[in-house]
Amino acid sequence: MTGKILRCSGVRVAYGDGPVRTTALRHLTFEVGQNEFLSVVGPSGSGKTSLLRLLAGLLRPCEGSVEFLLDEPKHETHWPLTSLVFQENSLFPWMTVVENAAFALEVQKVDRAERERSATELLARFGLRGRERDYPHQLSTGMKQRVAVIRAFLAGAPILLMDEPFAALDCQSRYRAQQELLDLWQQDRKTVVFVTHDVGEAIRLSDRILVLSQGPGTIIAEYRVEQPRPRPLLLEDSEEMLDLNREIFACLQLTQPPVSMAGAS
Amino acid sequence: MRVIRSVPAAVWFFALFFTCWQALASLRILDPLFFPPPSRLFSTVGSLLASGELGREAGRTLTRASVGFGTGAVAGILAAALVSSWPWLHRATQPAIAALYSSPKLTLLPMLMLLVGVNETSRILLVGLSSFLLVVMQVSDAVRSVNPDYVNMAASYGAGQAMVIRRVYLPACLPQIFTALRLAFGRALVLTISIELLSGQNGLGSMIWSAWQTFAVEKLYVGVMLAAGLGLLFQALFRILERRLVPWERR
Repeated sequence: MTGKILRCSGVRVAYGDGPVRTTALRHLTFEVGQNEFLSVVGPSGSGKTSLLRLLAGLLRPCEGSVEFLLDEPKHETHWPLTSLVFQENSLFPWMTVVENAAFALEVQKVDRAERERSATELLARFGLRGRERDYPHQLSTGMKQRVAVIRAFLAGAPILLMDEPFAALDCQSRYRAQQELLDLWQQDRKTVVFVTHDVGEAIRLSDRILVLSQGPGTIIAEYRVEQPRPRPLLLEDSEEMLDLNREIFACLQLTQPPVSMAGAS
Repeated sequence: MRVIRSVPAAVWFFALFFTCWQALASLRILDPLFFPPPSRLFSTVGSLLASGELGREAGRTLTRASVGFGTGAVAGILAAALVSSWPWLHRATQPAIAALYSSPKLTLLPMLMLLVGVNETSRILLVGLSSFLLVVMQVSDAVRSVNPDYVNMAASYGAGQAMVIRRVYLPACLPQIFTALRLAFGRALVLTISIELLSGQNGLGSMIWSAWQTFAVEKLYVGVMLAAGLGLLFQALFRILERRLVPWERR
């Protein structure tokens, strides 16, 4: 890790107007390192999605600041610094697979033949050869998310924001998608901020994990995953990782109201 | 069995319907004066086609409906784009559009005749108004129901407003635009024939009216069936066009 790429200081994010205004995130202070894979875990309603929308510039903080610490000249252009992968509706239904994958390049006014070539190449590497002219409704959920991840990588933004991209996948496809993401990331070490509610997933993928409290969310713990890369697929089966998993899980439990056992026999 | 299944059920229904009709009329169970058998209707179609009357009247009706529909639909799409860009304009005009939309259009004909004159312009204007109202309501609804996720996604990749309109709003609304056009044309046709029935010197509506007045029962039947058939034909054409231009819709 060379330096820092992103800094949030004392951020508060709130939605709505007047009396119904709800705070989604509060006292949020953290940094993200260049080329770091950072995961954010937290219970539902802890403001995970708001955090990514904040970093993507789709939400403005009402207190505090979000700074991008970049000095490369490329980032002075209109290119976005982040690309966001959504959990649902991650592809435009009216664009073919190749148009979806190359959308960021289309925005950047890359010539059609050139952008389709780049997209087709990556699609082929990730098992989507021959599906370039299909529409999203003809793909499985796993394939759709793969296309969304490819598009985010092709965008060339230095920071990739991912909002539970594999949450809707079955267990097998999820492992596969995680492996593919790591393969892509290994080649082109972008900075990733990955939101998930799956602790195992966070451990498998990340360098560092932030734990958010129940909403309004704030960071209550931070863990490092000190494991060399490339990592084995069943990383969390090791004793050390199982301990880490338990620890994070316990930390998450603390943030939630206790489960009522009334009526249980 | 396979042969039976390969023919659409609707074709079987029509075949059965006309066969029963023919049989009942031949057996004099139905009075052929009021229910002329299909065989006589077919020969009437033949003679009306040969004299050119059927083609001429249908052509006039279709021209009226198309000109009214075309101008109304184009104006409707432009107006929908306009009211979608300015929410206050939408709030200001929505009640007026909804009120006009739900009123029977034919009641406006006398008023238009008063203002524009008893001529072709007032007739086409009314057909245009009907298409305009339907299209502007449906399309502005479509624009407002575009999933904001898609707009955000495009924006997060740095797409400007023009690109968001061209690559997100337009394709997202296209299926509903087609539905609106299909419904609007159907209504344009119905309204045109109704106007002709009331005030036209020509067209299918006026042919049907004069058939009634001269008690040309076969011609009356042929006119009504042709009007229904034209509606069916154009609905099908719109659906074919839609399937070609909106290939991403799940069917």
